[in-house]
Amino acid sequence: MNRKKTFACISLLLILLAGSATKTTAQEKRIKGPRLGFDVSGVVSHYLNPERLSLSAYADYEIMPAIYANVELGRMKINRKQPSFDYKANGYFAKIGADYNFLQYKLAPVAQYDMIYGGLRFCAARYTHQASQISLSSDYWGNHRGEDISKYTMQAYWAELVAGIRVEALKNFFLGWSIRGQVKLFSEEDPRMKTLRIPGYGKASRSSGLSFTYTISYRIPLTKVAAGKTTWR
Amino acid sequence: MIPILALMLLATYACEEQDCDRTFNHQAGVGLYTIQDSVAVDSLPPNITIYGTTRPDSLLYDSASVSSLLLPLDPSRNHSRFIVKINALADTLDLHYNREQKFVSHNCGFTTEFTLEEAQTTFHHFDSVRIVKHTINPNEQEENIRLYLTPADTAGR
Repeated sequence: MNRKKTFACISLLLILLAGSATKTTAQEKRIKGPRLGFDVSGVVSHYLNPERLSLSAYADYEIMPAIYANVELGRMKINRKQPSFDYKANGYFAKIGADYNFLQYKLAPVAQYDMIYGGLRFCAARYTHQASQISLSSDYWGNHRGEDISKYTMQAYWAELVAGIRVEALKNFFLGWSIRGQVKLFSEEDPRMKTLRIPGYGKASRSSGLSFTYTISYRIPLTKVAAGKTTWR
Repeated sequence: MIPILALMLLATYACEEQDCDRTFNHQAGVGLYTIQDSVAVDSLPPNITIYGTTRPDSLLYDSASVSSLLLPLDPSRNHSRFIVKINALADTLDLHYNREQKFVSHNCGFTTEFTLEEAQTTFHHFDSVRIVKHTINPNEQEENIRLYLTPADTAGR
């Protein structure tokens, strides 16, 4: 229960910080550079469910005015121990896509980097799972150790429709969250045991669903572009 | 903003795993019959006591009067042997089967599927035994085996 309260407080703090973020004053030139960030929700999820660890990082770059190319990479690890069996899973995922910033032309043309965005991702994951310490129980004959499920490698592909907010809370530091509608396109199955979670996707049993990210990111200020010259570089 | 935050929190906790709420009992259903005038009729032998050969201290039936039995199958081996006592005289009932480990769910774990291959018995009280349904369905009280008693051991009903 304390963990849930802490999680709620962290979420609230993130939202309040984003809402009260200091707006940079207009400058003559617009800063451009790749933005690198990580998803805090994986850390929070690990705190709530220590058996599960999912970490992801992302990078984006404004390739055209209001359009940001986006790449996400992540890792998932599960080590779940139950009386009936132990389950381990391990895998990686990648998401590639682009976001469109709906605020780009509504804010001042320079030094305003806040985003309300929508985007698309094509996502892929490669992962393994295995089971051991399988207990087959009988009320009369007692428990019996079953045959271990050896490591099995699988792949999955899905698409995500993204909507989110990203706010420059401090100079070059951004806070944001996104909500994602996911549609599974393809996933392999182990005939001996169902997959619990697909890295980057979530519960493997669902064919579509929602996921959330809470990101903290830093923009590397590589170049400055004169106002009105935010064209392809 | 607050409704969005609430939605996110709700979605996070909605994904928490639930405990298993199912149990799986794999039992062979045995019907007791007597041949009378070339016709099989239900039998109701008195004082029937049954236990697994390795579990003499754990009785499945204790001086019962029943016309059908449910015998749990041992998931650790390909056969189960039962001692069947009627009026203190014992017979053995051997059930041979194939086992296959099956995944149920991440909350419930695994179970064993049984397919009966052969049934054998001694003949103090029994005349013969026959498998009528090879597949054991969990939690079902189906008749898998017909066990025919000699007429002298039958109380009739």
